[in-house]
Amino acid sequence: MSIYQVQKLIQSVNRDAKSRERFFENRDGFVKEFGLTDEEGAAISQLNIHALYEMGVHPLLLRPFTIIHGVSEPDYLNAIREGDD
Amino acid sequence: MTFACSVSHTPGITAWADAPPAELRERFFSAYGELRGQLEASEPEAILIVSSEHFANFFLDCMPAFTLGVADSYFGPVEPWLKVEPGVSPGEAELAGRLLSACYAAGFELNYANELKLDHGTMVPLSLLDPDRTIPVVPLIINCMTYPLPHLSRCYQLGRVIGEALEADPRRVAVVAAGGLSHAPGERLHGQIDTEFDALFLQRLQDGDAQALQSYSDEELEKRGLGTHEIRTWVTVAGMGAGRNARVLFYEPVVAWATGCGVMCYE
Repeated sequence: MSIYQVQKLIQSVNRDAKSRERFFENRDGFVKEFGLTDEEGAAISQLNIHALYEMGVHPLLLRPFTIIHGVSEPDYLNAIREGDD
Repeated sequence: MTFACSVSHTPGITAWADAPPAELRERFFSAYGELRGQLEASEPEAILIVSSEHFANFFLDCMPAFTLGVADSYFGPVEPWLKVEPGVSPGEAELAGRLLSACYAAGFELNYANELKLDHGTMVPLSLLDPDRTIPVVPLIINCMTYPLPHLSRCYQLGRVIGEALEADPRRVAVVAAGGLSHAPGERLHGQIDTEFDALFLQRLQDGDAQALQSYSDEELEKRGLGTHEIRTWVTVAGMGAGRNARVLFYEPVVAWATGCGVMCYE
């Protein structure tokens, strides 16, 4: 498991227009470039917000990544709070 | 140092400026306006802005604790949604170079950057304090995001060193700290604001209680949200202004911006 590689992928999609384009064209292909585990890759490809948050992705990386996917703030907060009391 | 102040830089200030209730936002922007008036009246030749950034320049591949901009110009903001017109701020490379040398001589080997993009951390305050972007800028960026973070005692001491360097420097420099206060952007705690924590922090600044200002543990700050680590910038400027009186112009928990918002000046 490499939280660094997961975050590196997210940073490149967040910050670089070309990477963002390639990511949305072929998520699985893009994910392979970062050598993620199957679990990490699935969390990214399926945008499993809760899993990514639990993995330790920094909120200042995760929230912009979800904004790029068109996730509203209430939906984002619900996803990261899933299972909280 | 002709003028010093400390302000919140939360992106809602410009990106959704109308979100808070009218009375509250009028008081907030009026306080920022008062700062602008004082800053201009002090006739600064440069603004040293001490802030955090948010993965705009620095990432985990190489994360610096302290970075001083030494460039001739800076582009910003990088956020297209910030509702601040993108453009270029002039830098003050020679002043930055002198400050850098003074820091190294005092044992602070800051990272330095000949290229630095400005994000909301610097652009929100600058767009309100110098909207025409005529005053040259020297950015000092402090890592307030990814552990480990520079200790508050180091921030305060860096402030002392820079404060002394500014007193000896021929340039008239205004200093702005930006960030905080309690906030937890993108976290489970998002939206929660610890008004007691913020009030105590502001009291310590007004009391000039250097020891107490340096005493917060990471756990204490994190409990109020990772954004609360940004008080490092306020503590750094407290070190620069040691001996000056701090006056709070505004503090409210601004729910619409999910941040305890403070506006403070030094006299």
